[in-house]
Amino acid sequence: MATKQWKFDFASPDIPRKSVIDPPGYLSSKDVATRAQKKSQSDDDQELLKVKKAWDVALAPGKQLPMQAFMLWMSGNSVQIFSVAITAMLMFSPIRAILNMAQVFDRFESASGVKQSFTESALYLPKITFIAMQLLSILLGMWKLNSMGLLPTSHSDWLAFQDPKTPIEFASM
Amino acid sequence: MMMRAHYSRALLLLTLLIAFVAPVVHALDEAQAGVIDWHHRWIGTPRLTATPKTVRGSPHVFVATEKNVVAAVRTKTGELIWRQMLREDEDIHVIRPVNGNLFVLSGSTKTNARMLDGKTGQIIWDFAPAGEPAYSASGFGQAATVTAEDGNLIVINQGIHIRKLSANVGTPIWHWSIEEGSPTSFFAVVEAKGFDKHDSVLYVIGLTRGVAAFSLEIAVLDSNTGERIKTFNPKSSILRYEDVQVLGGGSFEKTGYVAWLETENKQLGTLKLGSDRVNHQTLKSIIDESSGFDQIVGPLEFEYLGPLEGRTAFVLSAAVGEYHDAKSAILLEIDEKTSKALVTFDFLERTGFSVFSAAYKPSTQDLVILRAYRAEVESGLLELVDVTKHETTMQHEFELAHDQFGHITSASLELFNKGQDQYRVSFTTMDGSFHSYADTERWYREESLAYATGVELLDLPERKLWTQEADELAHDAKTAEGHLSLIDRYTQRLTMHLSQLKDLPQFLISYANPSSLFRKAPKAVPYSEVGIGASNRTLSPLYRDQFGVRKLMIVSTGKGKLVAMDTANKGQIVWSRQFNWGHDIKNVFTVRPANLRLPPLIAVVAETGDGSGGHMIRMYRLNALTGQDYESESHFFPSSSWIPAGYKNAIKLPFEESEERTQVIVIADDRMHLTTFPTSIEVQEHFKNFADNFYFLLDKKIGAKSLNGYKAIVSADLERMDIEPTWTLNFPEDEEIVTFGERPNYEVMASLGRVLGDRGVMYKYQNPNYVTVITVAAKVAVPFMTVYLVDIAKGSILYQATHDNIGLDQPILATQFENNVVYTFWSEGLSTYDARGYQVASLELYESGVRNDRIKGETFSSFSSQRPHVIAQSFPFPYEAVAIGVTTTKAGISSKDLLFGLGRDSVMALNHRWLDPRRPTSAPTAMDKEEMLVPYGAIQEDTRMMLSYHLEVAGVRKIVTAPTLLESTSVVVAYGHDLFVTRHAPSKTFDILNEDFSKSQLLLTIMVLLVMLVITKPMMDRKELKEKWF
Repeated sequence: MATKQWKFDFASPDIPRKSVIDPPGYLSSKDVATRAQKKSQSDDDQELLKVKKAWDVALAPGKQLPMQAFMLWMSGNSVQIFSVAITAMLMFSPIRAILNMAQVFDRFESASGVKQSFTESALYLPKITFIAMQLLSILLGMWKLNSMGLLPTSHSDWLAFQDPKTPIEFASM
Repeated sequence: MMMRAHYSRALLLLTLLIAFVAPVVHALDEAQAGVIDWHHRWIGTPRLTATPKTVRGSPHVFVATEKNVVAAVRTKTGELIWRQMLREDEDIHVIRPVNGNLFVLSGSTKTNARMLDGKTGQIIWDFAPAGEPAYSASGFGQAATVTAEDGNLIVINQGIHIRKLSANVGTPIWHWSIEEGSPTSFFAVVEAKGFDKHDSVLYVIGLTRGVAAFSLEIAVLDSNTGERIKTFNPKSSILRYEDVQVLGGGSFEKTGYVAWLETENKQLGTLKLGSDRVNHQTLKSIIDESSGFDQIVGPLEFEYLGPLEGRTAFVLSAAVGEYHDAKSAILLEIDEKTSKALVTFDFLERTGFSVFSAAYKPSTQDLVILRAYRAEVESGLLELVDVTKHETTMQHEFELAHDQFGHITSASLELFNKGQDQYRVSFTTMDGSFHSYADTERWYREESLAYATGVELLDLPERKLWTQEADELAHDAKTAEGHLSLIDRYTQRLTMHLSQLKDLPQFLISYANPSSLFRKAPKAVPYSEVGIGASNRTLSPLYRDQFGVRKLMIVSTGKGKLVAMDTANKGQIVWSRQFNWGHDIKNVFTVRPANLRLPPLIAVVAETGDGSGGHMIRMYRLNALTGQDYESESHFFPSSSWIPAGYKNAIKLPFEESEERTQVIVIADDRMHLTTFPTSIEVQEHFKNFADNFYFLLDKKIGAKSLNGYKAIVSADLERMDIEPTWTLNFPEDEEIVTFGERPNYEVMASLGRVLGDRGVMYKYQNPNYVTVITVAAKVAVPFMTVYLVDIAKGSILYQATHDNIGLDQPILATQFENNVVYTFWSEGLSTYDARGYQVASLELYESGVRNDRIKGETFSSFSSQRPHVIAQSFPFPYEAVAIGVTTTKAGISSKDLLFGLGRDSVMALNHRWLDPRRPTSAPTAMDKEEMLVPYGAIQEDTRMMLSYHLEVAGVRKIVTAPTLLESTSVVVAYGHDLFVTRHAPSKTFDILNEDFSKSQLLLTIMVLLVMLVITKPMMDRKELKEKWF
């Protein structure tokens, strides 16, 4: 690799001094650069890696679900500040996450400036999964709200909105 | 309805939260006693008056009243010193002051002779002869007198028993009687000069029933042994015992006389006691003595002058003139020598229903006779006649408004000497009130309130609205007619607001007045029921207070009087109005509320006689704030009107007419006609349309065996409006109606259903037309009662329940509200092992027994086939309930308290959750716990539930409530005898700050913070600036 050269290339600090052996553990900067160059050459690898990373991010909320379920179960079904706070967190953080999804996946976007449609994008599946996972945790929150009795699902919740019946007859003692 | 419903929704969650957090039972705060409530102790109209004999005037006067109450009233102020309420059937016959104490003879089927302590009213002794009724066959025969000889009592009872009772211990010293069923009834006893060798004798005067009339019988008894010495039977023919007067006597030295009127023979008889010689004088000779009798129309009668021994003068009077309101009277005295009656003074003719009374002057023992009568529409007149001088010594005119009190019905004179001769007159008037008049002291007790039969609570007008309108109206008469253009109106309003601006600084100052912050909670001030009618009091103007707690309470009384009281000022009388001549007030309706620009109006429906044995319905329209007739320009709105027929029913209809904005009233009379009020075409047209779905009951007769429903029939040309029977409900044999369930006047259903533990809903049965009727079968081996819920539109029984073996002598009461019915009764138990006691039963009516099942539809018709699902439960109740009511609040959100008037003279509030029929009888399930149901149990005695704390609220017959502007609070009025008014918050006062909330502390904290801010801000600024330099 290193042949005799008669000129100094100041652009690269590589000084071909074969006579001096590098100290043990020393890595010449050129070596590093060459290796990096090597990597950057394989763009496809890079993209794959990004997608893989994106999948990690997308699945992360799902991994939290069992833990959250456990916490909800621990907090009980009574309406207290603790259980309400946890449930509210569970409801709002997925929504926030979905809204911020573009930022989260920004670093995994392919560098190419070509506009791609969403479905063609490599991040299409991870994003869908991400949303699904967040919806799962919202569902978990809903289930919790329901078990706390905070969802208007029973007759009693709509009682106040029902109108009284108008009597047709007027009778008096 | 819709508006209310929305309002209620907004409040619902908050209220429920607080209601559940609030403790179940809460007692009245000690500091609140006498602040938010007031209590008037009444005794009824005095029938008998007795003043202890004194020289310097008695500090109290004893009275026995029509309502069988014995009381001592302070003569200076009219305040009650003590009262003893006897049983309803325990008529009082005689009261006599004995050495500062009071002897009372009372009874009807039993007899009690009691000595009451004059200072406390406590019983010193009680003598009750076994098996001896008080009344004889002739209906009279009770008397008592104190002997001058030894101070003991001679008591006549049942007309046949004459006893001498020891005044100290009440034991009979001797007893003389004639056999029961004898034609003679004794009714008077006098201690007088004896005859022959008999010195200490008693003359007992009686009447013996003959074929056509009574004749006199005089038995002479030995005062020491009670043995009969002799019997005189003077020739006489007497129609009634009132036609006999016993005169003279009072000690063994004085001669006694009897005078009597023989109406049929037109003569006056007189007799000296101890002889047989009867003197007869023709009445004509007496009548001719006085010019006053020229136009005599009535018979001559004795005037009752009070229990006065030893007098020999008496008054004969008769009605004169064509209107029967004038009376002529003459004074007669018995001549000692001839025992004849001589006319000694002519009282002459006076209009205005004279009454007489007599007393001895303490200085000279001269007899003085009082004549009291109405002189003018606004005044009464007192005349004192000295019998020895034969002249009128005093005439005094005093204020006595006719439309408040009517005429004087009885009077009692007391003479005393405090350096000079003074008098005091106690008198009663037609309205039932009890007055006292002396030179300097004057008071009256509004005793008509003891006969309260109905209470209408009226909201007062808002101050701002009222004055604003009044001011604008005052500006220009044209405004009243509504001719002003919009711009004119606007400028007027603007100028008025600008002119009001001058009050702004003052307002701000008053608002920021620091003393208002540190004001302590209001303290109870002493008050009495006497002051409420004082004429010199200053009434605060009639405006609504901040929370609408102040109301005008219009009490209709059995005496034909309306009394309007201010609930916020200890029941101060705002106005009162006496309807004379037997007005039986049937209904008082608020036909126009106060929140319009026109004054609030009430309509009074009363029944009177028509002068010829028939009945007449009379109807009045009064301005509720003044009690005056309300005159209107329209001839459809007369201030008074009448229907020449008997009363059947009067109903306030749920619509108003456009002219005067009053609610329409329909009156049903016994000719089976209906009359709307007003009678304008518009109203009649409206009523015609309304009549299709209008059903009613006519007579709610207790003791009836059936119930009848009626409907209005209006002819096409509006000529006739008649009543047509639609249904009849015959109860099974032996059953008779004992009570109807009363419904509160004001009711709002906040929630349409009941939420269960699993958040399901039981929908309430929303039938406004059902009535609770309770019947009792008394004449069967095991008496039972049956509760019927009857739909009075179609006459069907919606539900019925029977309770076996009930106590017949105990009160049965019922009330109904929303979808609930609560009733009380006494249970003897079904077997000998069962506990006996009062029971309170509770019914809840639901649309369906299945949860979440609501019958579709936006309307409810009584004619649909649906029947309610009823849940029932009964609970042992620790007290005897004599009245029942329920709290009402503005939106109906607060929980409901059942209010009971108790036989132990108090008023109690019991939260409805204790009477919940769904209280679990076994261990409560999770669902029950979620619903906060209390496990089943008897109602516990708990003095914290007493609204009337230690007060003795006697004779409560009814309890009515009215909502205030505070959702939490309801005004409670208990009436019937005593009057008790308070505020009650069943779910605690969640909507106002606690009284001990420290506003000053809050403000102080804010102030301190502000000051800190002012001080620290420049410091901070400087610090920041410095930091920028370095």
